[in-house]
Amino acid sequence: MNNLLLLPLAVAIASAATTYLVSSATLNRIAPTLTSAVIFLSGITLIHSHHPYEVALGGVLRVDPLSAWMLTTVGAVGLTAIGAGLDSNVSREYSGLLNGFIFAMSLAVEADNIGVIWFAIEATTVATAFLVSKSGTRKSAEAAWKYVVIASSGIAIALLGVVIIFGASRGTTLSWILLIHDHQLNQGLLRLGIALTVLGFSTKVGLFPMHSWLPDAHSQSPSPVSALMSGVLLSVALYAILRMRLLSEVGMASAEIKGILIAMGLASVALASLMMVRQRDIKRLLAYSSMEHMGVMALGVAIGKGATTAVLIYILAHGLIKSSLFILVGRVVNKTGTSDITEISLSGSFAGVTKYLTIIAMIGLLGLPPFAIFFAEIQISVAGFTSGLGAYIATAFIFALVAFSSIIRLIANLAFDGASNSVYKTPIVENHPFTEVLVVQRSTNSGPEAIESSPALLPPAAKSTTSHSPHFSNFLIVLSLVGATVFPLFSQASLNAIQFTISTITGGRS
Amino acid sequence: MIFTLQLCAGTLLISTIVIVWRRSLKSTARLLSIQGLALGGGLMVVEVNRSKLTGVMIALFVLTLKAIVLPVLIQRRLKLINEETNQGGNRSDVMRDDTYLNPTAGIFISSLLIGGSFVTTGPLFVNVGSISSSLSPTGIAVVLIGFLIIASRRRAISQLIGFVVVDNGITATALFVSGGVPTLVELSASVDVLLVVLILQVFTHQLRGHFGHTDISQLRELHD
Repeated sequence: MNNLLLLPLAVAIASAATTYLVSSATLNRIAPTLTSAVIFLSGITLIHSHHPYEVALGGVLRVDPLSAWMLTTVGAVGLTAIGAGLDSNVSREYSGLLNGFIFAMSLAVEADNIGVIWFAIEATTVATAFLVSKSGTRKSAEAAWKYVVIASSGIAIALLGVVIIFGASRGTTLSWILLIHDHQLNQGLLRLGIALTVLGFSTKVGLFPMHSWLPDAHSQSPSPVSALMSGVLLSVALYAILRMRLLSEVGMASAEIKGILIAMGLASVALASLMMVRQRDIKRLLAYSSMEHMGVMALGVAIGKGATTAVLIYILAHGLIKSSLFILVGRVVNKTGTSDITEISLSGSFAGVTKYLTIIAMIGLLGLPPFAIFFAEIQISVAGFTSGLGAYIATAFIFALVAFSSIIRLIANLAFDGASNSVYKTPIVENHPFTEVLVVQRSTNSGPEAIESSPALLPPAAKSTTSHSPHFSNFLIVLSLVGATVFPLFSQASLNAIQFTISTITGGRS
Repeated sequence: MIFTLQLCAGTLLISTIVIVWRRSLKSTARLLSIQGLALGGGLMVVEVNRSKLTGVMIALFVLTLKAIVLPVLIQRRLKLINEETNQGGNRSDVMRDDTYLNPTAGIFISSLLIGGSFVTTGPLFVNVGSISSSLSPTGIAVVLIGFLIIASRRRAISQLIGFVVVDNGITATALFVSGGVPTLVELSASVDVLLVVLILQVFTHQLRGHFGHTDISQLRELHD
């Protein structure tokens, strides 16, 4: 059974190596999709494993139901983001870095050793650095610089925490499960260590005040990368925080960690919602929306055991919906060459299946009933009110309403503005006068930079970045949106297993 | 052994403070080399004392990386920048960096950070099993001063140097609190700092290409 733990990692390495040796455009596109599929299937199999946990590599990897759930999420979101989002001209470096990115995330959720979790999360920064700067514009260079400096600094704080936790165990172990069962941990150092790791990992979650890389990196990356970042990278880092939160139940650190998470979660929800109100850039709006959702999830993590399964449902549903949205919006942004919401809705190229799927996904993002985010939010609120954190939850939801209204406005803009102008109903053609007017306006407004960054002026070959097969891509997106509704309802058994594991691990000690 | 570690802690702390107030980037790179020597040496002494072969190998690796590879990488980058700028004819002082802090303020804030980390974390490190654990606040102070360097410098390359200082501080904390972290973590952390430094070097080059300078405070393309 423990081969199943190594399979995702091995396949990721093998497919990166194959794309490097055999340079074929088709292979470059298929390889990372295949890796995601393997990760997804391994995750599903591990969820249905009858053992409480699986171990590999002498205990470095240890997958319990919680890890299996996250592994499935990484695979599922990877399938949506890469399978549906990757276009036909993929270089082998791009493909290899995507594989490395998925590898790092799988390692992060499978690892038991806190040091390895740290390394894997930092490895995601290394893998994605060049993906963020891929488009080669000034903006992307700036975004990539900020991303690497902020993320690495934050992760350095987490490493300091890991080092101190190692000191708390008197230099004996960094294994999460051994730490949980260690009765002689130095409580002072454990508290300091956990607080530092939580602060450090929160940088990668995009929580306030270390969030400033998030909207920049998301808006400048290619769509599949934004989709993966928003869909799983943030939540894999949140998973690391969740592990530390569970560890804090063992010591006396629980109150402080709760405080830190509530403060950061609430501030993130508040700031992100307010930033969404006047946001004109659709990719930045989606990025801030991720930050807002992550804030609510952080509150769920703060609540602890009662809300853990809700947070996991939330992670899965949000990942699927948000990655679909980034892919769908990415199509339109590629086509029109702008990410300004008004320009997109006026251009008329936002139509057909893409339009309907986007609107459905946005309804999911709002947290309306058929979608699992609704159930997760309800469960988090209930758990929050029963554990005496009701006031914070209520405040968060007031701000979430602001975010809600921004998304509603976005839907209204996209759904009706373009359609009401029947002139622009037809898909935009290569030399459509409107595009040229648009480009001229943009270039006169903002100098030579607009010309450089505006894909509308690039040769047509560079513009045809729509998915290789739109039907297959749409099919995957429909699947993931369906997965974001009913899937958690069918997986009650595995959620119970997670709940059971958590209570057996931390139950007697809290 | 404890004397070696005390020496190591002292060297680290003093060299970090000098980095804070020195403007010259060239001498900063040399100071990083000294820090690496102190850290690698300290780690080596601990591992030789334990007489474990893998540990000694790791110590050797850390010593090479921190005392030679990283400083040399930074020096080469500086030399490259120097040549590029001088080719254009407009000679500017690229080997120096502006900070927002004058030397006195830099030393003052550093001493506050050192005092603060000893007062707040000092009591936590008493009786944690390692003979050198009482030195651990030094490592934490170096981490904090490293962040001060990242925050107070204008040029991209200085932020890179600050990042290396932060990493040195973490390695020092690990060394003092428990005689170094497990091999796997030590190795991955070292490889990681090397990769991040390499990536940031590529990006400084890109920033220079796009903007003509690497003044971080002037990066204002992306905003809401």
